[in-house]
Amino acid sequence: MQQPNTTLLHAEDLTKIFNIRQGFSSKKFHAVDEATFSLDANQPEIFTIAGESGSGKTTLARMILGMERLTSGVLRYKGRNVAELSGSEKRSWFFKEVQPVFQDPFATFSPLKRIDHYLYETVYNYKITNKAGADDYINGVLNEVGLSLVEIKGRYPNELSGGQAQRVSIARALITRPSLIVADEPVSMLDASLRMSIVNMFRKLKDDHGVNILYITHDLATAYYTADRIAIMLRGWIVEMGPVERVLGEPLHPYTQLLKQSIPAADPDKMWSENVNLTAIESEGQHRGGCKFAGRCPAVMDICRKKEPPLILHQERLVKCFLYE
Amino acid sequence: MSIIVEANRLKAYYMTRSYGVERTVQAVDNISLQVQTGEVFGIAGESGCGKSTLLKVLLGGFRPPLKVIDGSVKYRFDNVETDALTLSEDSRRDLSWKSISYVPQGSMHVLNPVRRIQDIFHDFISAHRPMRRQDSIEMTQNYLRDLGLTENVLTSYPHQLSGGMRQRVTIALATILSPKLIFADEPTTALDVVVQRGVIQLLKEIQQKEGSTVILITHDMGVHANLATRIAVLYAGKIVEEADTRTILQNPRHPYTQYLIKSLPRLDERTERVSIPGRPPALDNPPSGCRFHPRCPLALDKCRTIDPDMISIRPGHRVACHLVTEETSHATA
Amino acid sequence: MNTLKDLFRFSPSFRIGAIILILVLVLIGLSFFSPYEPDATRAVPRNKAPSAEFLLGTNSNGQDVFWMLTFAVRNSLVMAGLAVLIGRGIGVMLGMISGYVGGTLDRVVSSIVDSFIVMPRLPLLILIASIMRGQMTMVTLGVLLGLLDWAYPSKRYRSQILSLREREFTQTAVFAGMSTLKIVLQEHLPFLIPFLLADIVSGFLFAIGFEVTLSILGLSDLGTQSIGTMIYWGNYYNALLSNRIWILAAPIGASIIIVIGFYLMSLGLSTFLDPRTRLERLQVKG
Repeated sequence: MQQPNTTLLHAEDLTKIFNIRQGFSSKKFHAVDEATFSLDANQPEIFTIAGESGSGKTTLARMILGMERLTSGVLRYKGRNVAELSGSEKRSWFFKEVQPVFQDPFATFSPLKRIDHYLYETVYNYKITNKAGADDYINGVLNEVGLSLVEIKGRYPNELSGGQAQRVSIARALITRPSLIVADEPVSMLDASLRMSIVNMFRKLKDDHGVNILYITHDLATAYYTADRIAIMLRGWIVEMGPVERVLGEPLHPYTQLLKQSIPAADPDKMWSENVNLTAIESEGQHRGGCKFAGRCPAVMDICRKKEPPLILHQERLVKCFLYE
Repeated sequence: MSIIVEANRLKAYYMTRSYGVERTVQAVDNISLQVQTGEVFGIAGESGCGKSTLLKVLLGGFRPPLKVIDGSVKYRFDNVETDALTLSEDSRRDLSWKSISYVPQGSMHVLNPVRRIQDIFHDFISAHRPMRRQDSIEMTQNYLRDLGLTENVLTSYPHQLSGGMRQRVTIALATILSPKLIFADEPTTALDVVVQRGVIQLLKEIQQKEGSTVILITHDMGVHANLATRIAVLYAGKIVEEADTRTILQNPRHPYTQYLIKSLPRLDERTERVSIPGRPPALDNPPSGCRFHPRCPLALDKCRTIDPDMISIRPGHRVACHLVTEETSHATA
Repeated sequence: MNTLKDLFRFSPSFRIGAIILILVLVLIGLSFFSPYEPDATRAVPRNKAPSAEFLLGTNSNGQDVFWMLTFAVRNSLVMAGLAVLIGRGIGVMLGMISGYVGGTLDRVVSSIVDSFIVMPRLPLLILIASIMRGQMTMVTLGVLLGLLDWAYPSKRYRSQILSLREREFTQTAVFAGMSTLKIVLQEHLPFLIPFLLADIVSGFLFAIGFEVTLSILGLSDLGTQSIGTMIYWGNYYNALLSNRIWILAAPIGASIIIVIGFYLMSLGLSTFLDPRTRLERLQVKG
């Protein structure tokens, strides 16, 4: 008998090309370039997509949430092609299963509406409980994120702190008991001392409730702490992907190595020994074939400038680099 | 070593009244500090701690609803002491070009979008040190080269440069006339990690070459670790601890600083990190006594009612905490 | 109700504006108690200056200026109200729908809007009024003015919706399962309210202004009392030249005061409603 397909999310060759108008001509900008990865329904994990700004990580997250149309590639959720879902199917099924947490908790909610309005709306629109049971249910979900209904009922978003508002945002995402939460930089706007509590909460959600979390960030330190697997993105490409201890512990791709070295350690004994050479980054030159990192790679070879590097399986992870052929 | 900026018992509050609601935000409450010439003085603290307000007051030129209720801020340039709070607009402008420079957050927007970089530099330089265009361009070229910035940005417009490059060009612009005192306000926020490294290294270069004093305001302890020589930790409008960088990072004494350092993620361990319970207080209704006491696991009875003074527990290490004060006096007793 | 009380106490412009408009309403109310019919001529001695008996004097038709003013203000405001209701109603609805739905619908509606904007309204109004001479009642005029004044504001609402659509909380609403209509009405409409208020004022100004223009040209229903027709009849009998200023001063003065009243009220209201000033007003909660 055939094994039931346990893939939760399968992204294959996802590509998003934007047309940028410059005067009378337009340039094609590959925000996401053939990104491929999958999440297993039976093994809930925190999958981190890390990269600098312009790497395409936010665009990729938006594509998975159905907020951005794919230029090419296939996105399947629980076997179904997301691009082919009708509007009502999205509203009655897909949005129940996949929920977002955005970066800025104060942009997530309208400043003119009380914050519990969104919680109640989510409960009613997905018919989670009837009117009578809504308060209890919402209170239960809020407890899971360390809050209570009494604390936030009737309040406007700007009456809460950033940490509280972000927790409410996470609680709202949890109401439909989704199988996948896509969190885009959920802690970058919070103070350093608050980040740990939110990130610990994500870990607990995965462990206790089996929720898969797609965690987008530029902060590698938090990524190392939170993630099970990680994908490093560079200008639309996934250049390294695998278990986080491997990828960040012993990075293979030169870009990952550069990123890791550049993290400022809060330790006076671990200051940088050499100055990074940034001048090459600033050339906004167009990418013409070859490897997108060739411009500033310390290990660049001739072939890197001419051909696109293949994705190679090496030491338990995928690396997009000629060095490991 | 001489003092270049001194704040004494500074109290600066925001006082607003609108539609019958009066609100007083005690953003800077009884802060005293001294910055020595040539050091990089870091002011660390999370959002809502009052560091932006402190910066505004130290720079001067602020307007209501921000008001200085008490205390003083004094500059000392070339042995001439000036009261920063009572400066006139003209003297302030004079001072700010010759001696003080300010690198604002998101400074990439400071650059005039319709002028080339070299013209922006020329405008700035010749406004304070009139010189011919060729001379100012040459000066700019040399300066950028010294700093390791590529020269071909000179003929570009700001929008043609990447965000990180704009930030560094702005820093170069702010420092080309060798100001004695540089205020850097969150210079690396919103920058990518590799560019951040470049910016930090640039600031270090400038500071070492010119011997300028830098007052660095940021919540990012990693930036302080790589740049600051001394750090003052702010919490709810007050300084809770002040010491050299190594001490703050490796041997903090105030419970808040300890928690802060412990809660930073490190790239070599995945063990569960501790997080501080509760959240920082709203500054319009701060707790009585020590402002950290509601979240402090070691709070004593007196912490609820008496605001601790800053006590020097070692030369160069001050802490505002009753527990630490008691421990220190027992140790020396 | 609390907000209205707060506004009254703390916003001087709202307070003055509200007082003015309350007085205007009182004036309108008085019209129902007028001892004279609005269309009765020669009811009183003609061309008498203001006195204890005739508060604002009498006009050349033999009518008490004060009581005619009450009718005039009533009719003008009702007509303007109708114009505003129709005009802003269409404007808001079309702007919001076309902004949110986008695509082909948006393009079609936008072209229609643009054609309306380019239309020269005054000449068109004069043309229609001349054709309809004699059958142009206040109600008809109100409807007509409404139909001519919805286009420009709808553009602004559309652009507001366009930007609101991209805001993150719109996405939150989508993921909270809210339908498009609900999102536009519940999430976006509150942001439009400051604009709507300013718009309503300008709508009233537009309607009153055009009515006066038409009436002065003699193109509206001259038998009904309105601010414009009072001015028309004043001119007809050369009130200015014969030094009977009160006949013209009454309607002109009334219109100025009404406009100021509206303006002040909307100024106070929109500052109050602006989400950015809201923070300053927050009561300190425990």
